[in-house]
Amino acid sequence: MYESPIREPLINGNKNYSQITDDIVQHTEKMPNKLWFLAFALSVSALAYGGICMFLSVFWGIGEWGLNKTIDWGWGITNFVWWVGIGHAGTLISAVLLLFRQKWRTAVNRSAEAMTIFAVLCAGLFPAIHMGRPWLAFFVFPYPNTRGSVWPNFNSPLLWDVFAISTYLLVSLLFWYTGLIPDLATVRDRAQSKVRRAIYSVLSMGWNGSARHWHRFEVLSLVLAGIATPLVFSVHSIVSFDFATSVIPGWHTTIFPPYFVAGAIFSGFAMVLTLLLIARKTMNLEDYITVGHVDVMCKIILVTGSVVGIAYITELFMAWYSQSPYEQYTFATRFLGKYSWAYWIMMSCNVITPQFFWFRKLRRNLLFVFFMTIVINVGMWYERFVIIVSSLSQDYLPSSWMLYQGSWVEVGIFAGTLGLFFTAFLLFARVFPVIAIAEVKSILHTSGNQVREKEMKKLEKGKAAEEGEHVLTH
Amino acid sequence: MNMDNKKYVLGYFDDEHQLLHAVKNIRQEKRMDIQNVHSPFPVHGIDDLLGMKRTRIPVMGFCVGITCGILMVVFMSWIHALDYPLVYGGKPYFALPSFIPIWFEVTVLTAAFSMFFTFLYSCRLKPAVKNEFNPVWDRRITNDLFVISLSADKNDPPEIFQNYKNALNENGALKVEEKTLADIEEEED
Repeated sequence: MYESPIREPLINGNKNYSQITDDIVQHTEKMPNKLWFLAFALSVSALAYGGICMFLSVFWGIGEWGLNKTIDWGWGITNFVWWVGIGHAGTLISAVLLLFRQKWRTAVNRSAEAMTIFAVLCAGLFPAIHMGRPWLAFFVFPYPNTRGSVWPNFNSPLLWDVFAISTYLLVSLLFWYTGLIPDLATVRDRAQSKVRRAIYSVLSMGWNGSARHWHRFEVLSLVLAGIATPLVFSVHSIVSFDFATSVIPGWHTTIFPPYFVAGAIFSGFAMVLTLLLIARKTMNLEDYITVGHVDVMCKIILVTGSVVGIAYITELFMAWYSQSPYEQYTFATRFLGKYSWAYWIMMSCNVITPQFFWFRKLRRNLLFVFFMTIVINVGMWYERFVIIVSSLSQDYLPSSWMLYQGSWVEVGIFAGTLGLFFTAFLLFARVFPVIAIAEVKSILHTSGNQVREKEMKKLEKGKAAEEGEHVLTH
Repeated sequence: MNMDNKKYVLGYFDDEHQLLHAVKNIRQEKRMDIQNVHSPFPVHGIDDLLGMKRTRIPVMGFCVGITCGILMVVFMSWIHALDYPLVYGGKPYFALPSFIPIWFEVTVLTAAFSMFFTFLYSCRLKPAVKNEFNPVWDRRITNDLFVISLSADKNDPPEIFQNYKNALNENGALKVEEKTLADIEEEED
């Protein structure tokens, strides 16, 4: 496929194939630096604290949480939707961008898919522990039993969630692992010690770069991408159905599926950027995860953030247009009531901040982008909090109206999931190559900077020749 | 161990364009059968040059996905319409729209798993320390080296092997070697 030489190169630094291998695999071979150990210590502490809080929730019950009869979903489900949303960027980058033949995805897809798996793992904790008796969690699966063979309710979006999230986790894992096989073979073939070679041999399954295998690999990746794409859209639509299929004003609206999916991609890309901006600096991968990559990802954040903004306007419009007093009151309370502080944080973080990305200079200012991605993720957390808590706190029956505050146990569990996520990601960066080595090599001769420079020189010579002719004729 | 009676002639290249020219020349002009080509990444255009048949992994995925999806819908319908019918939110017993999300998820899940395991099976990949079906001719194949391998029976006349070597050298191979699977065994240890 033709690529214009004016486009930015996707790989800088005049690399050849063995340099690409060295740059990426070396991080799995040597001791990580002090920064890694510091980050690891912090995440493991957070994870341990969260583990204690989760244990308390299971041992003493959900009374440890701040929930009450009116607001029966608080921090727990906010965190669940937040994590599932974050998980969506990985599959989008791997699957959807593969279908769109976007070569720039090759530097970021491995980390993004890993991020998806860890985010969905964190998300999956919440449905499990928010049940009153989590040791009976297997009840959700349809198996013949002695209770009359009582079955789960397939009409319920909560059960659709069980299947959707499990499928999403497993298919993402498959997709990620498929791509890892050739790269793990690369790590295996560089291994000096017998033990290391044995471990990576088992993990890489005996891959030897055969052309037939590459053919099957490419077809498998393409078809997995093809089925993972509707999966991404369906999973977060199903999560949105947890709210949309209810009767609560502010929840019962058909805008939720596209709104949630766009919001998921929005927050997911922000989290990918947060991770990659740190990774590229600390692992010296700036030649692979270039400023151009960050630029393009910010454009996607701009688009999806704007879609979220339009969804907010749609909600407000429909509240007015429907003339439903309940809907109108719910939205009036959102920006004037007891939780209006959360609403305004959400609005400024989600609607105003992505608009800065219209400016090329700001998209390419990495410090600014890093700060923005954190702001966006905070904003998206507040969005779910506003939807869930403010709608529940004042619904149809005024005598049931109540307030809610997350207990220290709930906040602790959230901190624990952050700990789990970063611990898992740090371990991943230590043990597996964070960039898809084989894929980056395959684009070197079309998108590396040497190719671009050569093509640009040809273009300029051609232009000069044209101008020369032009001068001669006049 | 997989001790076949074959000797392999290997030509090493470090550039994929040269590799493609070599494959074209050897297969189409010299009419020699290429046993396999190894590369650190998938080389575009090599599938057609080698006359590879398109894999049927997607067919497997489709068949398994559709079948398991339909089975799941039948199961859900049996549960809700026949075995333990209950009225949920005023919905009919046979609530097909409700079954669609899980129908879709199960289809995708089973298709993905079946394709993945078919892929492993057809490539003879297995989580073992030694994989006797997939010889690693050189450790640099997964790094920056491309290999064309031609094979013939050990007892075949030596002219065949010499022709192979000449063909590879004419096409710009950096190095040409003769190996058997037993040699790889020794190298591993």
